Amino acid sequence: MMRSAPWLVAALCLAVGGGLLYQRTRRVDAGPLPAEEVVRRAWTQGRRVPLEGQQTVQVPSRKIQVEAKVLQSAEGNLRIEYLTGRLKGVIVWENEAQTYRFNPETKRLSVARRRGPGATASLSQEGVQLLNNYTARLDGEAPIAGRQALVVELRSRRDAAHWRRLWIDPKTWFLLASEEHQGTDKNLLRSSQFTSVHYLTPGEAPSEAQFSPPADLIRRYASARRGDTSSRFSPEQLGKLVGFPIRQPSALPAGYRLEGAYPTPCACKVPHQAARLAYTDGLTALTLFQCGHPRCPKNTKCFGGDPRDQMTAFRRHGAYFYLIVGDMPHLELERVLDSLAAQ
Amino acid sequence: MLKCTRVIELLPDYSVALLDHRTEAAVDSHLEICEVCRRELKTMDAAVALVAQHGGLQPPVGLFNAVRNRIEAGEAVRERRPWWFWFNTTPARSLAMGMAVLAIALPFTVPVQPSYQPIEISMHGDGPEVTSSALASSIRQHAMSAGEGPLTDRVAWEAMALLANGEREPVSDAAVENGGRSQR
Repeated sequence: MMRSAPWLVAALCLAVGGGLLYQRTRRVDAGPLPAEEVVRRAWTQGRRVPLEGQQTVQVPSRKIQVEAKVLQSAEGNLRIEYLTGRLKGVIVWENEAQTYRFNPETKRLSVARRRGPGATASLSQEGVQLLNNYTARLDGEAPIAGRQALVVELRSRRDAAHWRRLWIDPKTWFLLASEEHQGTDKNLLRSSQFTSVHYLTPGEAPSEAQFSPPADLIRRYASARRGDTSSRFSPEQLGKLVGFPIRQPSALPAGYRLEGAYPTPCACKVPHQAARLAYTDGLTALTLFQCGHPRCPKNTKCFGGDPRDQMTAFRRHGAYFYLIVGDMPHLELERVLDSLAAQ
Repeated sequence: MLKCTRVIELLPDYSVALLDHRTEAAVDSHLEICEVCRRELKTMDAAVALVAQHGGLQPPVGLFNAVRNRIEAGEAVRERRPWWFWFNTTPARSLAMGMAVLAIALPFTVPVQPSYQPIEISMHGDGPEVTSSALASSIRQHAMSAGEGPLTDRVAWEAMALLANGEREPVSDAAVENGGRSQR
């Protein structure tokens, strides 16, 4: 008996160690789903989860750090109430038709036609485009907002330095947190994280009234803002509407496609419309503003421009002024503008 | 006439009736007159009786020959211990203790995905870099366009859109009544 005691102790320790190891590395039941399917579900089913919760947001480049309370219905209607920082008290309501943004400090309630998210079919297409342009990899699990989430890393096929980390609840496929990086872990572009979340049961479904501001608020403060609402056109149609041909870049970053062309007001002294071209790779947006209106003064920065701003690049080529906005290396933004100059 | 020393030598064969008749008769004659040899025979008979009583097992037929043949053929080898006997050796028991230590230590060394830890970022200053209202408006439109993703991202983009256009300046109710709707 005494001679076999070491083996008995070893067996006991193996059992205890195995239990500890399981506890520390256990997987939540995501089934045999590959990372791509997890992302696809997050981009479709996860977008229609009725819930209420609180989240924190960081956008270092804009020095934004805020907390917000959110409410979402199964139809995709939402209400965001900012709780801290410079946006404290600001509320965004979005129902099937309108998006309202109210700032109690400025006493301004802007109203715009709702932009998105689109229909389920459209969400599905977004997911397909996303997975065409990004590789997805499961990166373990982590607790977040009291739930065990699957961690997925999305890396751009075009620019491996551009990547995102997502925390997805495998029970609802809701995206609990998201980080966007350029390069290393430390170079954070944007992060959003739920600190608490409660999925609503059918009995707890919010009323429609919760997704619209009080009637009195609308009557007193509502106004539309230039550029917030605009119809989508093809570039050719838009060119006829705004009075100058719309130019499209020949060197667009790989994976980006035109989502639509929209009229947008030019900031020059002569009131007229210019163009905003929206591009997306399924995850990241790229916006190209351009104005080639014949009555626009040639020395005007039609959409503004700040060489210190890493998120934007601007240029004037003859009669055209361009401003491009996007989360990508400044050099890439410049490359898009270069391709426009060649036209 | 046989001497005692010779009779004692013959007693084992005598006791199992292996002697020829003449030698047997000579031993008989000696035993009649020799008390010492009779005692020796009696002791030997007792020992044989004891063996018969307790050692009655018979070896297998041919055992002796088989053993002898193997010895002569040089095949006799030391018997091997069963494989599990290794577990009782000192190195094996040391190994067991090592495994025990590893089993407990390993779970604490396996890297586990950490829970969400927002990256610490210095956010000095009062707000975004001052930009022209035209640029702010452009960024606002970009943010609104980019915010068409999942709700989690939407809150960040909305914040960017809201802050891009200088949503900070307080305005009085009177100003709103007079000019707020000029934005239409």
